[in-house]
Amino acid sequence: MNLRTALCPLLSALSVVFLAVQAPVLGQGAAAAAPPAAPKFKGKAPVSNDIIKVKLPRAQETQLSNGAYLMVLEDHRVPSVRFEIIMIGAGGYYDPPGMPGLADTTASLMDEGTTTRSSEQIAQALDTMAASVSVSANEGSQIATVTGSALTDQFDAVLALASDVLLNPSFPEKEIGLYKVRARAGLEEQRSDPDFLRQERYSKAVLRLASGVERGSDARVARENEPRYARQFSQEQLRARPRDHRRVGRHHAGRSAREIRSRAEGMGQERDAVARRDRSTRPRGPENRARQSLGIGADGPDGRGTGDLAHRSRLRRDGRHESDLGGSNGRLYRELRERKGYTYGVYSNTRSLRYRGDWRAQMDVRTDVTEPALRDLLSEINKMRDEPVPLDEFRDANAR
Amino acid sequence: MAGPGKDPAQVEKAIDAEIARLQTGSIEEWELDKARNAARRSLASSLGSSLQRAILLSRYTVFYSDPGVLNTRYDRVASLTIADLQRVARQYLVPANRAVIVTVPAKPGATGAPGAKGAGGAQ
Repeated sequence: MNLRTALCPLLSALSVVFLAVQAPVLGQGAAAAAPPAAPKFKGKAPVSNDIIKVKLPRAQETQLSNGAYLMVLEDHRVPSVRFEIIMIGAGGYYDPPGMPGLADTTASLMDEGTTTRSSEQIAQALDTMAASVSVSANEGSQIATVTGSALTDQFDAVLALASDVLLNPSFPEKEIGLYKVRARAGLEEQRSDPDFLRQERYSKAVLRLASGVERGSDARVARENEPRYARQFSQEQLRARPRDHRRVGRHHAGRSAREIRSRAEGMGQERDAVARRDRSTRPRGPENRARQSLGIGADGPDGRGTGDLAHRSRLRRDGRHESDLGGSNGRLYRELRERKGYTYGVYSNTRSLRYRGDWRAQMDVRTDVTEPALRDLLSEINKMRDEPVPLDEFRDANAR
Repeated sequence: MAGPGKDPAQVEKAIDAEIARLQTGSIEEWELDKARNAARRSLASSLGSSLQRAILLSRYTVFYSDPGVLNTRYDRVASLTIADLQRVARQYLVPANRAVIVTVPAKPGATGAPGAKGAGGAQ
């Protein structure tokens, strides 16, 4: 990249950065001169009520002969490519009955060996190319994904490796054994994590999940599952869904959308993985922790998501309540962090999923302020529900 | 982070062995390629963000009096040889320059452990 070319779009950012780092040097040289004028602080950040206009790049889209749907976003500024393959219907949401955690576990094992490459060879190849390939099928998610990134001139090799991982996983016994060891250590560790325990209880209370455990516990799979389950799942769930295959990439000059299309069509079908968990250990008593994690949330009365919740609680349907209540400029942050000092951060957000979603607020607090923090959190939610939002606050939220 | 039941001293010993291998052992050409690609990838990622480009330009100006280092940095990294790496490793990666700190969880009920009498509740 030519330096002059780089400088032009950077002037506004540079004015900040250069001033920040060079001020001491300038100060030394000007020691004998008149003292600089005291800075004037306005007391508040300027707020514009104009709606920001953003022109988004347009993706090139095409249906491939192998059934996959391809989307490409070209970005020629840097020599790198990122891609994501999405398989709808292969996430942990679709774990077979009695096999919670299978999708997640299968995904975790996909890059641990193929019919032609060992786990070590895959890792070394990716390291050598400074590239990444990752398979995931989170619990509760309707999709499984394969994501990857590479330098442009390594893209063909990385995509070929991703294809191999997707189509030819071998699930070696040795790697499954190592995975079980790692999974057990992770299970033990998460039992001491207040965030995990909060999420676990939240899933049971709000989402009404039967096991009450929807996050992080591959216990049953790690303990009981044999490689055959992972093989069976990867074949049934992934080979059956070639039409759900999408790739989104950005690439450097010299890599046209046509080239990307050519590579993607050669991939054939894809696959992924999945999982959920069971509860094998009991949580430790909360009195032994210095930190507590609080979470509050709700879904629709019939599990249809947050639309009903927003209506019932008079939170606005367009999602603006998140700016008013959650986020680093919201009421929760202002009241519970800035004024009360209960927590480092408190946030609320809405999850809009395909079949169900929820609204939630959560924060970590010191154990000794658990009760007042929870009380004030509920109070803020009640205020947002029962009292009209002042016009100024509403305008500020919209301006952000 | 060491796994449950693993002795941190063993981890430290393994790290020491890798440093020793870097200083005096054999380094394969593919390992050097890996490092070069990692540097190239890191630089490419940085150039994708206006803020990161601004930060790099300002740093090169402050530290080298030359924002143009942005255009030559990767070539300099790519020109490094195995001998260069080993010379630097022998000079700087020595015990005298090192501080090793090991932290382990307190045993339940021990003085200072979360929940123990008189223990602090800091986050």
